Amino acid sequence: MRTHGEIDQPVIERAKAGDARAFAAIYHAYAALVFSVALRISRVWQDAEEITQEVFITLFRKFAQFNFLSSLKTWLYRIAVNTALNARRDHLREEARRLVYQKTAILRQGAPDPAAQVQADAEANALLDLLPPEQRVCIVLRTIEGLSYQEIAEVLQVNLNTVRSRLKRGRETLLAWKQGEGK
Amino acid sequence: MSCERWRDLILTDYLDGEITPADRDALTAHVADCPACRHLLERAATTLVEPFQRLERVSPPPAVWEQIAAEMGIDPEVGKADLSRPLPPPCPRRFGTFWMRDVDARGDGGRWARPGRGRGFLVPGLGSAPRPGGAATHRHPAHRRHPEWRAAIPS
Repeated sequence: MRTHGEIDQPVIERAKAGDARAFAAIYHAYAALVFSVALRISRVWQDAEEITQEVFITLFRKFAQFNFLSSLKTWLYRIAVNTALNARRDHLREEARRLVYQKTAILRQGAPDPAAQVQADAEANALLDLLPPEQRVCIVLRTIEGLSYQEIAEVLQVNLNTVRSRLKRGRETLLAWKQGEGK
Repeated sequence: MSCERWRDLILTDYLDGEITPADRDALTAHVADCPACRHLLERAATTLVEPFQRLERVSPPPAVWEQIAAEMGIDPEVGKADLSRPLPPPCPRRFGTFWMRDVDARGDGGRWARPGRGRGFLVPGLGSAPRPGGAATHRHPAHRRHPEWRAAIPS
């Protein structure tokens, strides 16, 4: 399970009330989470930037509706996934351009072993590209983000068996592709 | 249970650590006698999980926060402050030193400052401007803002 900065309720309350510093703290705690999910689903660096902006502006505009029935993290995952899926439907860009952005982005991040990271990224993205959006989202949330089945069900607002079924079908697809690759 | 059910269990609950102890024991017993399921169990993690676990979480470039701050009418420098420092306790809006509410003369007080609308906003840590006539602050004394402190103040 990945960990990241958690924001407590008083800070959320203050951001809801208009405290810019509290909102900035929320952004910095969750920006990488939102950006990474957006990047894995949309597969386009520029789209991930736009999705991240849209998610936090949506959060700002709809903060008054946030009632603590779900955690802020779950709420952000939900907006990020839905925004990324919509962005992906809106326009799919050419593969070569995607890869250029991905590699540039990894080099910009200053990874300890950029070449290995580019390779790992390319391999994972090639696998994700095999999957239809619903299965891809479940794989991203479970295997990359480390959410439990219950958390994924809350983010996607589906039942546990649907989560399980999407993961299973996605992995069967990956397995079949790997078997074909090995022949 | 058929091999198909065991296969489903391996591809979901087993791989994701959500398997119950009873199912784990039963699965262990099954794969001891079933080469196909054992083969799947042995390669499932390396094939289906490890490629994704090598991925790093990626931070957006600083320009993303700057765009969000511009859209919201926030000074982007607010986000570059020392966030490890604990936030000060909230104070009432009209006396606040870091709330980013509008401070226009109409006193609507409920909207965020936006650039280009001729409104000022308060900057964290700077406090409000001194009032004409020598009054350096508009704040009530601490014991009035925090009545619970009154008991501790000698009369």
